[in-house]
Amino acid sequence: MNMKNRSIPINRDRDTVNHYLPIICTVKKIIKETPNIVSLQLIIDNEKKRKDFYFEPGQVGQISVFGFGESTFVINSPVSNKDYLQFSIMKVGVNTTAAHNLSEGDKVGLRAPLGNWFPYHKMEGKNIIFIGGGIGLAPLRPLICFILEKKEKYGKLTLLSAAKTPDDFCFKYDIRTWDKSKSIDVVSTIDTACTGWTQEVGLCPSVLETLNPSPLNTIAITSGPPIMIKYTLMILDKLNFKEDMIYTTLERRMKCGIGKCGRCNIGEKFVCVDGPIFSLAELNALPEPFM
Amino acid sequence: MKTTGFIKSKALIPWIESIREKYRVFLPVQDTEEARIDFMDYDDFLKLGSKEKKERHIINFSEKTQLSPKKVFLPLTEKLFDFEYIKDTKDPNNVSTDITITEPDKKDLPILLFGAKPCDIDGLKCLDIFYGEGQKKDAYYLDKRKTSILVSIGCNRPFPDCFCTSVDGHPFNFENADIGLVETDEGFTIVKIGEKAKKVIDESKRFISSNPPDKDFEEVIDSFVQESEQKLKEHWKGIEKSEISKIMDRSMDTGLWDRITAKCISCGACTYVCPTCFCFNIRDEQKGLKGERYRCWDYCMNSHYTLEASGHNPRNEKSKRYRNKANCKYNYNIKRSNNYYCVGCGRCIEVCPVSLDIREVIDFIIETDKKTPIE
Amino acid sequence: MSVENNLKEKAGEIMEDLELLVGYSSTNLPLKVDPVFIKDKGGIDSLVFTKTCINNLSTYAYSLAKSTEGKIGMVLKPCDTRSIIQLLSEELFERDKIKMIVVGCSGIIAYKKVQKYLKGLRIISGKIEGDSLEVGTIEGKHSLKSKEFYADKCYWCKIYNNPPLFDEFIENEKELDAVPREKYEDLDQFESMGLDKIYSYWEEQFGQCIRCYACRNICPLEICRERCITHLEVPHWQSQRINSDEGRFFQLIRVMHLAGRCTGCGECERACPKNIPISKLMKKSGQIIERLFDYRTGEDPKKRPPLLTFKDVEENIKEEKIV
Repeated sequence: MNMKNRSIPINRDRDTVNHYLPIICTVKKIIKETPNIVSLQLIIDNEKKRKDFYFEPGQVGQISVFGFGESTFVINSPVSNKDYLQFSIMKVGVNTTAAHNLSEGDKVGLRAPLGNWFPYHKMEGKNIIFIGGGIGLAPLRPLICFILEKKEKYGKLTLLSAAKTPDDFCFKYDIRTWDKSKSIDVVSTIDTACTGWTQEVGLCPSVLETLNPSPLNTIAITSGPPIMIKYTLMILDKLNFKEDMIYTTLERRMKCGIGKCGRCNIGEKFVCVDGPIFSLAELNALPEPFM
Repeated sequence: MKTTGFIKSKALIPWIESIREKYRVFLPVQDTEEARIDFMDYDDFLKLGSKEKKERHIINFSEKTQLSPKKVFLPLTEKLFDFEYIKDTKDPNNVSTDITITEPDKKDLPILLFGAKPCDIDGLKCLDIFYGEGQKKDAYYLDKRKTSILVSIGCNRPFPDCFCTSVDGHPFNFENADIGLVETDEGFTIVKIGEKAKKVIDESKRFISSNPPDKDFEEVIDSFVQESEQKLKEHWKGIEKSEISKIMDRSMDTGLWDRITAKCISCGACTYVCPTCFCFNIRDEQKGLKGERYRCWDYCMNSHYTLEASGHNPRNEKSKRYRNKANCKYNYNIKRSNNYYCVGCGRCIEVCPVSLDIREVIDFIIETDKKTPIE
Repeated sequence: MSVENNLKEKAGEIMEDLELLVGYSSTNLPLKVDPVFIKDKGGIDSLVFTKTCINNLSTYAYSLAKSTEGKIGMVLKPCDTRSIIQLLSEELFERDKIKMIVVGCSGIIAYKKVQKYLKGLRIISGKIEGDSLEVGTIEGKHSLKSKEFYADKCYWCKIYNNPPLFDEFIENEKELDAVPREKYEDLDQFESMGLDKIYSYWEEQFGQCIRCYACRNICPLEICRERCITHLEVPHWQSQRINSDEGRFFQLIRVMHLAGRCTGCGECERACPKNIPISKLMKKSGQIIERLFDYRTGEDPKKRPPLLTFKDVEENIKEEKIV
């Protein structure tokens, strides 16, 4: 992993050399974000590990619902929040359905932090446009919170948040807070018009095209389902954004999370170790297509 | 090659018997009735011999085993940990549960792998590199390898489908082994004793004679080396590491791979016999309140390998999966650690039900690349 | 050699009606052949037909029928046509989708049988000249008689020169010189061991299984491939653990899935990298089906397999009694 241009966090959670063993966490609170997405707020049981836990915005964790299996989710609570760790889970399969059936007080396993993180040092002094579709807002949330805490280091901030219907927006409370704060321009769009909705209507890539953000000194960060990323990248290219100024988060089926089981590779990189955050320049340099 | 000792053929079993208390010894055993050759625990081998006619299972160092010895260090199924949900049995209204995790006991004896060929040892080296790189290493594999001793026997008679010299290997390469042996008429000549092996050699002095029976042994061994090298030269031309990596990068077109994999049936045979394939699956299984998380071998050729819960599958087509496998061996890992992840043992060629030959695949890609105009 | 030339000639004649022709071509590997997919007349010269053409090319029939627009030609041995007949009886594709070019057979050398004779030593050279089969291992050469090393199915084959279904037939002037045997003679001998011994025999055999699924993927009739019950998460029928119990369970799933459908081509056993004798189980299931339903697989494309049909009253099964 090329660590040259990134700050190295002191990963104090290294009591054990066996990286397959999860630590036990308790579910403190469950928030129903949308009809099929819940957010779990977890507290690490072991006091020392809880105090020493540290992560960078964009890093992920593997949550175990013992008996079902492990799945990877981004840690989407702000880095500065020491009370709990939040993960947002969409109900799509066996593991996520089991996660949806959890109650407050239940125990789960956690292996975190894994993967790389957003190179926020590179973004200082630049404008940033965040483009998130549905649950794709989850990886962007910790970064937005992180940047808003040090707003003076960055340029103009914009968030384009897309969802199928008004009910399908994740982190509705955050979007309201950010909108009110005036530190970040928030544009929300839904797929098709519906009564009561006064903001934008249209698929994310076409709304992005209408917004027409200037690529000058601007970084674009996009996250969402593969089909949305594909078309968003096409529009960003049309708008003349450079490859090394575009970042995206990729998803792959993962098992070990530490680059040893060989499953999540794209070319010579492993999404669980060298990703999930990649710049478009890095992805285009890979021999295997990433979509 | 310098010789530093000699083990007579008839001293081999007594030697193994003497170290059984301290090491778990694995040997290649041939089942003459069912036509199989595989590495087996010496204890299991003894149990078989006592059950039925002794001549059925024999130790055979010349033949290639069906499965490589990687299964000794990366078992087909391996427990990661046990978990248990704990309920308050006194209060039925209390539905909350606690969970405990128990790591498996690590009390096994150190492993002594006897009779692996240099290509197999190279395969273990590839796994050492892969499981040991990065900040987070694979504890289960590395713990076994830390205390293990690898005893390698050079290849006097390479097979027609061997091509180790085309992938940076050599039939008498003992660099990655702890003890290097050459099989000669009356026994095994020791040509290398590594640091890790010094202790076991010291403890086994009475089975090792310091001088080989024939004073011309070093010349005999050199002639074996030359003969094997000569044979292997005629096998497969191969291609230089950096060259093939670049060519593979240029040859990602799925149409090309469709032609190559038309006859492939997407089974796991080639993956499971390969000494360097490292992929595994992790599963949870639970009965009642107790359960286990284990890992088992998996093969990247199966259509579910990259299937995501949402239904999206980046490698839906068989051509993409085989392209990934061939690149993993001849491209991606060359970029990661500058090693071919193919040791030229030829097992995948022997075992493929439709005779898909990796050498032909690479040759075809090189040919096609030559004909393609450079943009 | 003239069989090969006739085959090439016939293939050349019909090639323009076909989008794809699947046949055998030679390979450097001793005693093995290579399935080849020919798209134009230029490739026809690579076709061969020898005594080592053991692969059952109808394994590609279903997937090609689904993915190819035009017609597909297939070079088949008479025993292979049984698989096509069985696929047709299950209405998996139209009759005219696959043009069957059947070549009369004089016996096929079974690689695994030679390996068993050599006690597991690797075959490094193999040559067939007339009746003699010369094989070499690193220990030395062996001169064998071809007719003693045919696949098991050759010894009770009655259709080697008159296939039950074909579009083009190329006669083979050589006769099948295998000494005929009773089809189920080896099963009777095996069963005389007694249940305890049979159980421990299979326990040992399945201890070798590595769950590579080569047996399932090469079977012409297991078109399910990875949509298999063994991979289901919910409900979780089978563990992914690799051990004797799970290997046996998987094979029993296959036996039930193929009961009344398996045509006895033996490809599953040939594909197994650990030489597990799984066709014994398939054969036993075939024997039971014959007795219960009077049904033989691969004979009539109009007859539905018995376990895929429902009859209100069965002829050979009465309540509480098997007649």
